[in-house]
Amino acid sequence: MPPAPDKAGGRLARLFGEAGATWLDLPVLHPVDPFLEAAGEDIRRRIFVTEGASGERFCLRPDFTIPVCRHHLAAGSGPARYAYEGLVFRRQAAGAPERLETGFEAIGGADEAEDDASTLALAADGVAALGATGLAVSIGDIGLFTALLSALNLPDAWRRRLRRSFGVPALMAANLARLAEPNGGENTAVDEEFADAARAGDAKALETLVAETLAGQGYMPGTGRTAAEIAGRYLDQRALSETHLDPAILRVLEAYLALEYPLAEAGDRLAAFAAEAGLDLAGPLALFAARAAAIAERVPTDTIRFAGGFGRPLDYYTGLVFQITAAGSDDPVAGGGRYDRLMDMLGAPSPVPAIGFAIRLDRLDGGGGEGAR
Amino acid sequence: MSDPLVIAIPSKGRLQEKTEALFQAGGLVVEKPGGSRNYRGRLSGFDDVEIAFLSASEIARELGAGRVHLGVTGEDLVRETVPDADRRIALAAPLGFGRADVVVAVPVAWIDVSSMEDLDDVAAGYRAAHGRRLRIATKYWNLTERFFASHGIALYRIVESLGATEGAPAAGLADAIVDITTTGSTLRANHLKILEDGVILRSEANLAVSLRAAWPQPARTAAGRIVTALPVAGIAGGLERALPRIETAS
Repeated sequence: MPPAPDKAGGRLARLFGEAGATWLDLPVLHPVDPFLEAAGEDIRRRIFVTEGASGERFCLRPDFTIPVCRHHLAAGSGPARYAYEGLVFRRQAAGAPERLETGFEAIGGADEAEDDASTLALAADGVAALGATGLAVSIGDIGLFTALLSALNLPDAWRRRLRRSFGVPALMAANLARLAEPNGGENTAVDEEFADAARAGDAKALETLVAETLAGQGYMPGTGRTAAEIAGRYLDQRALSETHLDPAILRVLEAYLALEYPLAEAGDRLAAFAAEAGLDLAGPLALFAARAAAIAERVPTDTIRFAGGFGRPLDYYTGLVFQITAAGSDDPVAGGGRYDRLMDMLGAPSPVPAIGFAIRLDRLDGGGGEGAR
Repeated sequence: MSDPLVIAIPSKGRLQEKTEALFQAGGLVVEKPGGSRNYRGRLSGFDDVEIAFLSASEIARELGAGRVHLGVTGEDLVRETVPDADRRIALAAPLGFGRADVVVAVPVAWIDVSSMEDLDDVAAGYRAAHGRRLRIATKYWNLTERFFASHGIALYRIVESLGATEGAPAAGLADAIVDITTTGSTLRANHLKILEDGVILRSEANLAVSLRAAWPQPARTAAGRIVTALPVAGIAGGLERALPRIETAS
């Protein structure tokens, strides 16, 4: 039997307390805007939205990360750790629309490798304390993947596209195929004078033409895309339309995405991979090695595997991602990751590093615990 | 006497005129007792038929809820207003009027954007450049969300548009729009262009069949008589194909 909820908090109150966490009891309803701003409009299809008395829009929390971050911002404190337990609400085609989760967030920590390792270890300890056995941990590294895209010198537009496909294998495969095929012709029909400026590669003239068009058509200045941005991207796209992803680079990307190693050997293997491909990934690989060493001090590494293609498409995730499965099912019982760009999106005046995880109590309670369906 | 067959027809505008003309052409006389302000009417010569006068979007909703049996409304409204529309409503036949395309349109000055793929790229880089997400003004939340998701676009925001959607980009209220257009002239007048693959739906008025309404045999018989009278190609076959789906829908 998993431990019963503690009066001071949830089932894992003592474990999370020993890790330095402040227990938070957060509201169920939150303003919807921060969720849409961070995760994009697409999340609206998966959350419950409702209205307040004066028309303000709220949602039932779909997770705890954004509510915890907003609490941290409002409290205005320095580095802090938080823990929570409660229901989260998701619209889904099958299954109950609410489920019980408990979790932990470390906000503002300065030592990335140590914080990554201790957070991952805490997640594994938490899942074990709830009675799960046969744990297997998968880890991925979004920082390493974005560093790879930089080291390959890919154009910005291609990097953006591959980054937001990361962790979604079908989308990634489609985008790689799309970039690999020759892309004939210019992308858009435009007036002759625009085309002339573009052919001459005259960025300044093109920008002026776009600026005049915007002004002439009554666009409020300073409210949207600028003439420089539009002209710049037009010229970039024009150059890209005459090229395609180099087959050698495509092979490197595909090979990287297929990499899978036990964590104990992943650092060496990745270094060999980078050397063979002639890529300088020294910085991110040093972090990878430091993190792997810190994890090895805390968790039996034979249960942990690294996968090059494991990631998440959302742009606020920046580094380590992980998930834990238990014996008997491939559905993760815990998932977490580093989201160094989220606090900034929620309005923090300067970037704040952060990492956290959530444990799916609905998958651990075996249907017997309170709150499980 | 069993419960009446309820047919919803638009209560105002061009859709109303066209629908009444269509019924007249089929020799069907819609009676509005108590004058034009009455919301329920009858069909001359049909004892067990009731006519409900509703707005086109109410018709879509009532069909989805099973409170009316048949209705004349736009496919755009069916798909926007009714969740899981294909399981709740069958479109028996397009009626040849009320044409409108639901489209994604961006400023003409965006010479670098001609496809959804371009828009995806602009959306992905938008926050880094402007400190906020790309904004789409629309009345068609659900159609927009589904269409953008089908193109893998997640990083944008919808701005609710209540009035003239096409004016939102120039006013700085949004970056691009999703709206209906028939000839494209309103878009052109507002210096907007439709993306090459940005047509979400080519919509027109349809005779729509509720798969959620109770359909006792007398209602089916009456519906068959009425639909057969309407001079619309394929409409009787459309109803025939829809009716067997009713038992399996709930």
